[in-house]
Amino acid sequence: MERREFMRKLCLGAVGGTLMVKGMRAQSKDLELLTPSFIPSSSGYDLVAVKGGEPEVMFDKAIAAMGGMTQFVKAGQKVVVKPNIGWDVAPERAGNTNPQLVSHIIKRCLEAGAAEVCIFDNPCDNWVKTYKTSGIEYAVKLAGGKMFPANEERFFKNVNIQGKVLKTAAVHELILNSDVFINVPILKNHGSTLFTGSMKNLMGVVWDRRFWHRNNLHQCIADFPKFKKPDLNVIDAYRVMFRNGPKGLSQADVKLMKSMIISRDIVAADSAASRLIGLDPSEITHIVMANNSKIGTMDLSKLSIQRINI
Amino acid sequence: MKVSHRLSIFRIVVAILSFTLITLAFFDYVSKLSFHHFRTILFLQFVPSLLQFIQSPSIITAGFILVILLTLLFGRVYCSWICPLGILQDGLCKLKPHKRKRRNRYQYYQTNKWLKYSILILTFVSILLGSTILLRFIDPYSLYGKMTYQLGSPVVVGVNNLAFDILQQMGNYSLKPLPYPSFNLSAFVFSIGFLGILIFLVFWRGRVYCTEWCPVGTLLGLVSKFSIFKLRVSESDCTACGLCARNCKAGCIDTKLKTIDFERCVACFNCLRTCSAHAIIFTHHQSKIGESNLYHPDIQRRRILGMMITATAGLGLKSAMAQANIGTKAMLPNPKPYPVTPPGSLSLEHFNKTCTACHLCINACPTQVLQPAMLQFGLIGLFQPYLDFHKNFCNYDCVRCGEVCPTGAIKRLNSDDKKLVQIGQAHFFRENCVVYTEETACGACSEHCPTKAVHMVSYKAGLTIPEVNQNICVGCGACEYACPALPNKAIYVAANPIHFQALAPEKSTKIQEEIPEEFPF
Repeated sequence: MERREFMRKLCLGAVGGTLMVKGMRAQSKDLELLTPSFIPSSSGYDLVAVKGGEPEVMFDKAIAAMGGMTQFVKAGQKVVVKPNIGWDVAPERAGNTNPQLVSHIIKRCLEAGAAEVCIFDNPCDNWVKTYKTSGIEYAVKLAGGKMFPANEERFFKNVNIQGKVLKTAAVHELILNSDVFINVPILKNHGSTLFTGSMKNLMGVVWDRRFWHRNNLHQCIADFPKFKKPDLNVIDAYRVMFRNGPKGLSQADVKLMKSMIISRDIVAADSAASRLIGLDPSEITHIVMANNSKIGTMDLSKLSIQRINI
Repeated sequence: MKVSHRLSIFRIVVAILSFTLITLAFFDYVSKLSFHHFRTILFLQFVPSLLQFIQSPSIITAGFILVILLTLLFGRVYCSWICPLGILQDGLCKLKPHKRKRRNRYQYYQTNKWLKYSILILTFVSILLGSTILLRFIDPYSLYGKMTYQLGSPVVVGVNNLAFDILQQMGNYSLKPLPYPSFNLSAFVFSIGFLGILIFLVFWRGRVYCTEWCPVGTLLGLVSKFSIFKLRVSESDCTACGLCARNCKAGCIDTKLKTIDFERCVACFNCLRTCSAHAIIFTHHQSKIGESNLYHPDIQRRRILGMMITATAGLGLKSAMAQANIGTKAMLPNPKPYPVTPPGSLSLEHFNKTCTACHLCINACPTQVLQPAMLQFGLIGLFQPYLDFHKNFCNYDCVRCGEVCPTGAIKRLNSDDKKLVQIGQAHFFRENCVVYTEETACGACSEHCPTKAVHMVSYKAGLTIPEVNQNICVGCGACEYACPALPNKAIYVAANPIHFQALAPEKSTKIQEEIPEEFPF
């Protein structure tokens, strides 16, 4: 497999890659014509929750309810998709975002006319192994996205964060340079922050996580979105690690929940997701902190929510 | 004469091939080569093969025997055809600045036998005593490895990263940026110092390291005196012009006596090519050209050779007895701080006895947790690889170091077995922990723990604090690496001087399907 991939890389190279993207775009135009019913005119929902389908189907339903991909991605824009690619574990272990979902989002972005779609994470385990084992590197390549490294400090730029604790952070240049930022975390149990969702996923866009851990982790997590809020949060709850998170030990830690939550509001998304994993958002310190500093709202009763069963 | 030309060209081709393969093995940062590739490429490396043979005699570890057989047939071909350090010196020869177009630059010199035999005997004695300390400084393969890692890899990584940057600008992401090897002062100084000495010697007299110091060379030199095919000088044809001697990197051709010192001849066959009178022939032992070519047997040398053979036999016996003892001693805790040795290295004792610090594993380690030791092993363990948990941690699924190790110092493990090898145990100091001192959430250690030996238990309101179950800890160091506490860590791994078996964390079962009936919001 490795050798084949290597050979493929050698053969395809830059030309092949460009052709592939062009091909995708050509294909996407046909698809749009075929599926106009996916794009309703209204975009009134603050949050959409879907359950009972495959990741691709759920995403299509959800994004349609949000007003379609074109609400988020305009032609010619540069999109960064940030999945959770934290751990050197296979997709079945639910330690990383579902690769099918990542692949599908990239396709939809390209169909919406995105100039390029870049994907990265700053993994906890060895990045080369994690990109590979997670299945995301391969999925990204298939979909025509660009997998970007985050293993060196030079890819990160220091920025000011007007947080309570987090004043500065070195943030990955893709977050700083892209027009559209789509956050695609996976819902998981977490040993210390109790759960990991959209806000926690943003720890992967900075270089020095130890600082966060050392200096009131919850506050740092709640501080970061003050600097940059994703344009869209897609919480993958297809497979959910309900214990031993965030890395997990085995598939015994995983439940097949076939669910997904999407929202522009990072706090609302996390609030709904925490309920999905059996917690109350008021238990999660960083959700409460972010709510209090008006980054978003954790009170789901104030939001218009579309619930879709497949 | 055409045959002699071909021999020399054939030698160069083989040498370039072996040198390239070995060097590529060192720069295999993306793990393209398998265990079998490494075994094949390094099969003939004398010292690694010998060390591995002593531990587990088999065909695949018998490369050094093949080398001895080759030497019995053709002389020290190992030194010019197979040994990376020898080939490197041949390459360095070409760099020598020529004064007034003088290309013939070497001369016959007297060898210091006491020095080289002493080095050989001392090396054997140190191996017998259970230490590779001398090999680490004198074994040609390990020396080449250290230089490649310390001086070669920063260049290769730099070129790769530059290429990555250029391709990335063009929208091509097919290369991956690599991390630079971390700087290790002692190993760097040693490597650059040795390279300097090597260059000086090569420019001065040629293969001085090989003919005067190298224990492998000395040993093979003793064997090559009995080799069947030999270079022979024809008394009648030789005009004693001295051209061959001036081209002899080993300085082993005495034109006055028309003899060749086969103990030093590295079988490069350059003399064949340069002799305009075609008076040197590489030929069968019996085919006599001139009496003077026959070296008279030297009783003292035979004795030394005998000693070597006895010593090898003794070494085998000793290791056979030692293997029976592994696991039955030293289970008691020891307060002396040990360095953490790679999974598969069995014990500190085994590791110190078999590792020649070629740094191949350090180069191959995907997480760079393997680093050359300064004094972590004590002076006796200088340059030995150890796991530096401040640099990184050992990947749970990775077995790379055992796959590449050519000496058997790190045994090859399969991924499942490796997950149960306990190279150390985590120790938690609550008083250093952020959760205790700051009363804020952290859990970085537990996050990273692959077995959940480090898990979070309830602490004060809304907080959890780490707890360690050492029975299932494998000592990978992920907790220590991730711990943000300053200036000391709140959790660290203490090495097991003898690796233990960890208990397995819970077994995996089938995934449960639990699609929510209704959304809980």
